Amino acid sequence: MALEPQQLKNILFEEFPGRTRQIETLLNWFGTPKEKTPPTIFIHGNRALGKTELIKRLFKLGFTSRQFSFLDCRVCYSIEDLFEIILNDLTGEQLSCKSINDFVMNLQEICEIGSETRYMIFDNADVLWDLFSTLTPALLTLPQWIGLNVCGIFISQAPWEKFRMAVGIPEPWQLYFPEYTRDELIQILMKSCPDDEDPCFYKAFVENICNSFYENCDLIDFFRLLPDLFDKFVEPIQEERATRNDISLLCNELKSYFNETLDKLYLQDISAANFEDQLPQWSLYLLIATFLGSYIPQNLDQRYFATKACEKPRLPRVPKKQKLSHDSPAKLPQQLKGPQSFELERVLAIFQSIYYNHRNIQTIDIHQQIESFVAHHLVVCTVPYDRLGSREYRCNVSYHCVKQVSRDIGFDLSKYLDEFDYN
Amino acid sequence: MSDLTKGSAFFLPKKPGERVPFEPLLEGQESSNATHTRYDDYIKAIQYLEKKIENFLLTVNESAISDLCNFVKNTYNKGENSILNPPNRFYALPTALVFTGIDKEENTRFFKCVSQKLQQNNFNHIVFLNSMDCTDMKRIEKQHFKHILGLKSLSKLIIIIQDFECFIPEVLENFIYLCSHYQDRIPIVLMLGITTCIRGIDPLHENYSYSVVRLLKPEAFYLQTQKARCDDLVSQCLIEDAKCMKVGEKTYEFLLDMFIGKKFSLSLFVSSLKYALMHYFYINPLSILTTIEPEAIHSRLDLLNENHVEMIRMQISFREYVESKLHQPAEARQLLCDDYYVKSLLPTFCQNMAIYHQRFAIALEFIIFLQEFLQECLNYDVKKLKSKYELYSIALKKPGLGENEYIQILLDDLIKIDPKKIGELLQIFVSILKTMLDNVENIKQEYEDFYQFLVRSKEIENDLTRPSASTRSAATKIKNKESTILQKIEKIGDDYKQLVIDVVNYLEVFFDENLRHYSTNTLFELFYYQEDISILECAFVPKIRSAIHAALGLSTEYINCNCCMVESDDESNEKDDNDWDSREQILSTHNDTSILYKLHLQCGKLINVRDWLDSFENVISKENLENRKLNEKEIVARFIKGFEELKLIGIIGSSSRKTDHFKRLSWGKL
Repeated sequence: MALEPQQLKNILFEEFPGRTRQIETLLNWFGTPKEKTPPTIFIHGNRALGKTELIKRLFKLGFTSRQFSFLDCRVCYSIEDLFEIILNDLTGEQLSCKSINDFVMNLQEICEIGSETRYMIFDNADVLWDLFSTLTPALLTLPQWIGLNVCGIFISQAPWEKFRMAVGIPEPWQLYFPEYTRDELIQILMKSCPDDEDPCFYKAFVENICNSFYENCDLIDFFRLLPDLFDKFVEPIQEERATRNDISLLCNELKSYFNETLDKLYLQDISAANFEDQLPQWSLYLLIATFLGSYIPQNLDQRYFATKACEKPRLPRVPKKQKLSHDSPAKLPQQLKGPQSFELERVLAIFQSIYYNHRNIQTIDIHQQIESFVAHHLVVCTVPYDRLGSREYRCNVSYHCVKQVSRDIGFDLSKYLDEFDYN
Repeated sequence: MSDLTKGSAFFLPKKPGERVPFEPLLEGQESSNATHTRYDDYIKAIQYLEKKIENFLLTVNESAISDLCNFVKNTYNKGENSILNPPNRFYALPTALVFTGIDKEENTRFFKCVSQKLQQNNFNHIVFLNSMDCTDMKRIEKQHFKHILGLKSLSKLIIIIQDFECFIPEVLENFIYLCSHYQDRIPIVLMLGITTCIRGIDPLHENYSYSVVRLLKPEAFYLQTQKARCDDLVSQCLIEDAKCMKVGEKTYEFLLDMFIGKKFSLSLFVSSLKYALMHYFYINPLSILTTIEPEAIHSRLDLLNENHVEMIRMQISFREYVESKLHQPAEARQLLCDDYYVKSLLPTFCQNMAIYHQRFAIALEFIIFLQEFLQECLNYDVKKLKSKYELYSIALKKPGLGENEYIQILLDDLIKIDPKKIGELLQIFVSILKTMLDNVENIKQEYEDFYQFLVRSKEIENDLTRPSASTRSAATKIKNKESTILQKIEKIGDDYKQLVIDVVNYLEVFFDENLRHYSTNTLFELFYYQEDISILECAFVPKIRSAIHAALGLSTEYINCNCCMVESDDESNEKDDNDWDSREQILSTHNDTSILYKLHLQCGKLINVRDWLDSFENVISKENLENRKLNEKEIVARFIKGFEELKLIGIIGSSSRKTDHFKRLSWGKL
């Protein structure tokens, strides 16, 4: 059953610290059940700021189940699904609905039953654009268009400007969820305090964590960091090396675990297997060849890859007097430009130049290997597949990775990449 | 062409009641019994090999499979996250990241094993997702999840994605999001196979947004490396068995190339080995002696006729044997003239060969342990160590592993170790020999020798501990006894050194004898497949380009059709005197693509399309002169079809140099 407004407000204030203003605004906009609401509300803010949770909780406590429908747009893959889920939520029946016209007809029927406002909540609303290009404008204008007491609520991480793609879309009422302040964050994290733990002690722990991670972690990260770190935090006490009063000692000891925990959080603790074993050696050379093909400009090929016979020092052509215009940007070093695409023939030539034993490798093997590189996203094909003529590729592997590969197979990469001097 | 006919002879289907697919050898002089036996031996050998491979597959990734099963078992236990009780969305999806090799077939087999094992325990539901079928979410939903979501009694839903990197990231992102959305209702476990281990976890970081990555709670699992797998495979298939066909140096290199060098494919290794086995039995009449147990060999001797014996006499190793007997002219003469005498020697030769193989395997095992031991003692670089397959490769090359300098280096290093540790090494050797005592004959002497060494090392060790005990008890008398103790310790040190030197000397002789090259044995030709690898190359590393050129250029010979034959015969009769090769003629009855190919051979670097079309029209206009005139549109259509085909095959390519011209991409005749 729906709660009284004041009671609802108190519960929400208690559960969502730092969101008082947003709760009040929303409750003001909604008013009493039969009052007209803003036709569309757009809620935006960064991730992990309580947008979805707050709306979910508010509607669960403050409204009856047939009054609203909540839809996570990311788990919806067709318009029919989307309409059917909404109608199902609002009526409790399985209705089939193929188009927006059907949807509107059904909606009208629903609204005739009672005069309360019906809410349609779209979480992750930015996905709606990908579903169908005219769907979002239609949903935004829907309340005006049919003149019913219906309210659409769009929750998104992107600001409204991203939605204003078509001309003539009515502007919704916007509500912004700002970042939590440090104190609010501590207040929220205190909710994770174990039942049998002293809150003051736990607060000291949380404050210490917040000091270190406030700048770069969001709430979800915090919730995932805390259990592990708290275990480490109380470890000295369990080993009876410290008491609960030695907060500063505990904090100091905890610091040594930060790196490890962060690595775990960002999945950096998973190392690559010994990859020398995982690919044939020649295909590692081929991978390096694709990397070189992507990062060495074609006019330097002769300098780097030519065999002795035709090694004629050909200086790069002196550019003619360049007109200094403000439009053309200064010439960027190669590694800042990112990988360039190359033709297959070029990579074959480079491969022949850098791999000593290339005569043993059949061309068909090389072709196969390149295609399997493409399938594994190690190399990207930059020409659409329907163009059968010349294929062009681009290397997708980082310098770091190639460096490690070349070190392992004993290939001197620095001979070819003299502009790369980082690390 | 000759290869084609050769191939078909191998694969003659065996019809019930008909003769075996093997033909009588020795210019038809082989008895049909011998041929039958040869064929039966071959079938047995193949079945035995298949069993070994199957066994290998089961054992090779056993630990990884059981790890994965445990991982799945331990997910969604209630005890997890007991300290905190955050809202549902902070639970991450349990994900197993399985770093596999690039061999797709093997990965499929591996995951199949995993899924079978998982289904054994309880009613887990397992779904395989393949990047080929999952190009968008609707298809995934339609194919897999409509019915799963309806399932009620679901223990765990395990989703196996073998080729993680091949997925379109956006699709998989949505899918992961969907999984985590349903996670509170269905316990979902993800299994991602990462084949490009070079990048480690990078494919996940680079292609997927952080908000999706953090929905996963991954744990990494590694499969055995290809080198370790290769070691297992080689020792199971080629080294351990004393009574099976072995391969010579070239064939071994080829097999290694298939598995670890160029192709990284187990199935190619297996097929090549099978092919070699088949070829060996097919061409070698003496192969009936290869796989037979020593006890049963007498029955086989009856199958040998004088041609067989003559063939034995022709073997190089036999000739060397005869030469070694030259100082006993009577025996040498008997060897050359008396068939029965040669036959009576055969069991001994076969027996010696079997013993050689068994002892070789033990000695190789010793080397492996010696390497590991030295690595621990002297902190060797792991990369410096040679793996088993590399050692075997050295052993197959002349002059064999026993005389390789690597063994000498190992033995030299053995002298450098702390002498007290020698006991450990001896213990390992003794335990290896002990397990072998029952199976291998003539190893008892070695066992006793090593056992004596071990006893000696223990005695010295006991001597060392005794004085130290007495020093403690008699602390007051230290000054008096100090000098005698020092002397004693010095003596013990010398004893140790002497022991190490003795062991090293013994090992040197042992390795020299047992790791000698296989060709030092008489009649090794009966056991080693030493054919030219071009036969294997023909079958497994085909030269596709030349096949295409042959098909297009010599289409008459290739198809062997009547229509072209008749005409070409007539033509060649007329121009018999000329040097004109009838095969180079362009006939209207040829296939269009073939005509175009032949025409393009007459061009230079660039081909004018207009000219090409004209000459094509010229050729095919002869085609149906009597019946009807060719429609111009038809000609152009046929031209374009053939033209595009050549382009696709890679014989011509577009050129930007000249308009209306295409460039030739392939050069040289067959």
